[in-house]
Order: sequence, then structure tokens, then C-alpha cells
Amino acid sequence: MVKTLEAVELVARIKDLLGEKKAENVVALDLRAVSDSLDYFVLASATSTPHLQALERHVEEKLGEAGLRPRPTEGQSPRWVVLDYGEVVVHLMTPEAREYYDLEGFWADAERI
Amino acid sequence: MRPRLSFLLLSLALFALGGVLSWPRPLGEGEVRSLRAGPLPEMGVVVAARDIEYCGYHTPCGPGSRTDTIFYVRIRGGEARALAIPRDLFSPVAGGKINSAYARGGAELLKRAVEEATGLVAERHLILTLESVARVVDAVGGVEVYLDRPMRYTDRAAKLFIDFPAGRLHLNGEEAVKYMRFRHDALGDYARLDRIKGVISQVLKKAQDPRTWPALALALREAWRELDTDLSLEEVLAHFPAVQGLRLSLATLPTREGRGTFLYVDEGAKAQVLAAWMGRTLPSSPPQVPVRLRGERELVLWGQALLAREGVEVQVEEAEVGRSAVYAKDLEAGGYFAELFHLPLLAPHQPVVGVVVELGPDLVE
Repeated sequence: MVKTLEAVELVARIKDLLGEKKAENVVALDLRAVSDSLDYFVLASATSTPHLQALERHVEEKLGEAGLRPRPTEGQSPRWVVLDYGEVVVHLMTPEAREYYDLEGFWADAERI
Repeated sequence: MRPRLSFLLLSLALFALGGVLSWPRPLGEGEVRSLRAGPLPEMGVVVAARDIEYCGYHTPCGPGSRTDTIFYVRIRGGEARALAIPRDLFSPVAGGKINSAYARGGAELLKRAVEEATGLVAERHLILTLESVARVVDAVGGVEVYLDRPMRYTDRAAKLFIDFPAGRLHLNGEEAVKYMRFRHDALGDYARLDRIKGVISQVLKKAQDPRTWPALALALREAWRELDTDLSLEEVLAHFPAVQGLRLSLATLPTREGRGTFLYVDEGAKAQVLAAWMGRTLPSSPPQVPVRLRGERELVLWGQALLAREGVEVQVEEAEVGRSAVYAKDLEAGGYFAELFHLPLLAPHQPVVGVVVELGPDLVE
């Protein structure tokens, strides 16, 4: 399946940004072959709620400088933040939430990129 | 972004599938691990909502034991088919109206009563409170409805104050519960069930969007503490991936009026509805029924062009629409167009000529 260049570049940029702020266990999934409606997920763990917020701010700020803004989200949780950039959706979670909701497990067949 | 399907089960947990009964302590992350367990199993679930109990005049004291809203939901092969059961239905096994079955014999009696009425096997139950329903509606950001006329009702004893103007409205969870409880219009309880169907289909659609997931997960963890169900959270988590692409259709069990205020199952109509509802196979070519498209001008024109390619001529009507859906009494014909437009099929009690496809602004959001 042909990857959308822009989406793949955005995934790489988000992974870099998360790395800069020491996000843990950063994983990107290509869901297009296993889902009718989802494209790419980037998952990352934060060590605490303040770290989670710092990761969120950093990604939002840096992508905002490039003119990219996430679609507005209805409600957030202190353990799980979703940033929706269209084809690429970023899930920032505490390790407990990451393990509990196990999104990677739900899409175990998805290609990791 | 295209419509997102996947955490559907999170909301199905309230409206069709899951939850945990009487968890001994608040559920913590990490305490439950999902089991990876293949495709969603076929199952019949009785989903009911408990009304509010009044301990005295003006004194609501929490969830009551009467269930005015009862659905039989069949999950099978990527599809959830839900049948609304009118609350005034006479239930021989309950010895009264079906909405009192839960009070008289708990979930087991309610399941037996639903099985007796529908002739379908109910393996599981999920009994909700109105608060948990409101929480989930809030978690997906509320619902949009369109009212032809204002909806006003005051029941001081029930502390139910409804005052919605006509037109397109956005309702939060508490307002959506009021909207679903209202039954003071010409068609009474049937119209109420039709409104509930509309809200359920919207909540499921919105739950497909990953942006709703964190809030929805929180709302459900809260709600699970109040639920009466025999479905475990492990089961719910195990089947998350399998509900991607889950399609929804909703109909009402046909009834006829009888002695007193009781309703009785209309056996002839029931046989027809169930045959179409349970064994429905979608026609491969467009069914020969009148089709009407309603909605904003651009959307209706788009729909008209899409249907023209299928060789279907339609009537068009410019109208304000709350959310997109397909309405039909004929479940096979309705199913064809629901599939074509990727919309839920809502079979209302109110008369529908042929198939009506409503296209709302949610299609282009």
C-alpha cells in the first residue's frame, strides 16, 4: 500500500518532537490495511501528568509553527491526550493508561513505521 | 478525516454490550487486562435504562427499578441490530407491563420477558442509569437534534422541566436524557423510542472518532460502577478491534392496543419485522421503492447525483436535518440505502413512505 508522503513525514516529525521531550516507547502504526477508517497512530508514554502536558504543548507548539493545528477535542483525561492531525492521530498516555487501553494490542496486525 | 470506527465498543458498552456489575472497588487501570479473543461473538443483549425513583413528592432518590426503555440488541457479524420494546407491552411472565419486570424479578425476569415477547434468545443484560447515559452523551460532545415544534413539559413531581425551542439544537447529556424521556406528543411512547434511536445512532457514530476516546473511556469507567450487567470489562476490551465497521440498525417491536393500557405483540407484523430484521440480506440492485432525499441543498444535490449513478430517481426536499440517517419501514429497502450512504438505518414507528434519506451537516464535518 502506497504511503502518503505528507502523512509519513508528519509521523516522522511527531516522533522527533516527542523524542526531544523524552517521551517513552514512541510507536507509530500504519492502520490503513487493518482499519476501514483509520490511517496512522503515533503512541507515546509520559512518565507523569506534567510530562504528558509538556509533550502535548511541545507537539502543538512546534507543529503550530508549521501551520498545523489539531482538530478541537471535546474532553481530555489526565492520563490520555489525543491530538488529531487528520490522517495522523497522536495518543499521549501515562504508562498505566497505555497498558490498560492497549491500543497497540487492538491493532496488533498493523504495520509499525 | 473520514469517519472513524473503532472504539465503538466503548459506547456500545453502555448501549449494547459491556460493563461490569458490582465491581467490589473502583476499577483501576492495570487491574484489568484485555483478552485477545478473535471476532465479536454473536450474542443477544437486553439493554434497559432505569427510570428515576421518587421517595416522595419532589424527592428523587436515585435510580428506580422500573425500566421504561428496553432494547433487544443482537450483535452478529459486524452488525448491531436493535429492537425497541414498548414499555406498556403486556408480559405474561412478568404478570404486568414489561417495564415492571426488572422491579419484580431483576435482570433475569426482564430477560425472560424480552425473550417471551420477541422469541429471540437474550444471553446477556446491561441495565443503565439515566446518569450514566448522560455521562456518555457528554463524553462524545452531545448530540444534535431538529425539532419541528417546541418541546415543553413540566412535571414538578418528577422534577422534569423540558423547554426546547423548535429548530436545530445541540443537547448536552442531561438535555439529551430529557429529550429521550419526553413522551407528551401525539404518538407518545413510540415517538419517544424513535427519539432514543436517533440519539443512540449519533452516540455510536461520534464514538468512532478517536478524539472522543479519552473522555469516553473516563465516562464509561465512571458509569460501570453503576451498571447492572453480566458482561465483564475483559470481554469488552477483548473485542474492541472486532467492532470496527460495526453497522447499526434500529427498529421497534410491532404491537397493538389491547385491554386497559396494555399493548400486545402484533404477532403477524412481528413475524414480518423479525424475518427482515434478523435474516436481512441486502438487495444487490436498488429496490423499487419511492426514495426521498431531505437536507441542505448542496447535500441533497450530491445525494441525488450519487443515486442517479445507481439508476435511482428521487424526490428531493430542502430541509433542516439534525443528523444524517436512513428511515424506512421496509428494512431490506432501507438497508440497501443505509449501506450505500454508510448511514445507520432507523425504522421509526411513525409512517414512512418508501425510504427517506436525511443528509445533515455532520456528513461534511
